[in-house]
Amino acid sequence: MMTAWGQTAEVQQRLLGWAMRELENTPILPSSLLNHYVQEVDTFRPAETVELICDSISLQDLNSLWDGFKANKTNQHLSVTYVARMVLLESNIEMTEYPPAQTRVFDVGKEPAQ
Amino acid sequence: MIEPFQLLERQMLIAPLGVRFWDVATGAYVSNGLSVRVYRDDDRLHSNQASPNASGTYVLHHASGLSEFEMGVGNPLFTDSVPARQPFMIEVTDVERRFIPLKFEAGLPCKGLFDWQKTITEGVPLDPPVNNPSVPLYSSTLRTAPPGMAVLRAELYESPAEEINDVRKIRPAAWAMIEARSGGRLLARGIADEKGRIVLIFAYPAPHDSSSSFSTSPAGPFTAGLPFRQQEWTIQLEAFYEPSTLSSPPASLSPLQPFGSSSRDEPSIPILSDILKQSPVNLFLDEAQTEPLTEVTLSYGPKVLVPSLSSPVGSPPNPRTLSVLFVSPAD
Repeated sequence: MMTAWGQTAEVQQRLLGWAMRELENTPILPSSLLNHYVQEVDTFRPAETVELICDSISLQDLNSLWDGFKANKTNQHLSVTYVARMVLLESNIEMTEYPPAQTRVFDVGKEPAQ
Repeated sequence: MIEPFQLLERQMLIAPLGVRFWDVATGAYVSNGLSVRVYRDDDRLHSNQASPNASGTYVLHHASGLSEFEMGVGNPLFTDSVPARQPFMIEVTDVERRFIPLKFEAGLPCKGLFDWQKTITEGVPLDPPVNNPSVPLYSSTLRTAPPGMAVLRAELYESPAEEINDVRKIRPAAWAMIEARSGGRLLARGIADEKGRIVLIFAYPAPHDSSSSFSTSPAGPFTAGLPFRQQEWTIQLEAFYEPSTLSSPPASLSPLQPFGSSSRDEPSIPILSDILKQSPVNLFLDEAQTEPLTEVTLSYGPKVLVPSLSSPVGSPPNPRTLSVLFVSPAD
């Protein structure tokens, strides 16, 4: 969710319009940009990108989101929601990969007579 | 109670080759869409196909001359002893035309995954990760680049042109190689196809900032700088072209080729390690070799980076607004 904060409604509208246009200009955030603002320079691999798509949610869901800010006495402000696609999350659970099987052995036989 | 099983016969199947392919542009293994043909003594007619398994490894069965070994006849377990290797040629083409075709030599049978890096001589630049035995695949110009990555396309020709029967003919710089660097760091390596068409796909370099990008100060990590789409980077280009080292015997052709199969025009594919160890040459924007090209400017966006002359390119006779570059073969 992207929110514009301003003294007047016009400032908020202008600010949000400018921000939305910038995101439309650069809807795909490349790995070098994403890695540039974090301490670890290899968080995103070279071909990993994040695509931002403007996707409005229902008024009810938006109100539910802002309800969370009521504890801070924050009123609802002009906002727009985006979907970030293809964000890969790495787990710290180690995935064990067995070595490739190169030899296969098939035993052919018969059951002993009853 | 289950009675003991009475063994009558034991059959063994051993795969003499398992090889993985690595996409240089994205850093991912390529596990489908490849045609991997294995043959001996340039006898391409009697080749065998390797097939991908569930883990993306291309596995060969029924290699020419290795049937007894594959059945384990008269041999101890493969894990205990490795028999004498025989030279095979492995030719890789992409059915989906995402990658340029290549071939490489391998001694079979090969224990474990084929480690291409260990078969090449010193001085050949390597692309795959060191600890993962695999064979690099380089993008073809027909490939759709992944979104969010920079693309450099060009057509490479030899200069000067040849005159045959008073007709000027310009030869494409087939299988030439180009390296792109930024600040000395290698961004990408690309290989031209048989018509000299080349594409380099790589991640954008880090954006320039007016000051350090990351800060642990409470003020926050973000600093003002140019928007990413207005950023520009200087990319250094270096070409490698030595066709005399790429001598590759022409592929033997089947007299009974099925309709629609590869024709006699099928190009002879050089060996990958020969392509990679070509000598460096200069790149030029014009056939007369008056305007060398060592750097291009890259900016973010969907447009393709194409270095070009300010004046229309007239030679070769090609009015398209694409990048036409010239190289002289290394001596």
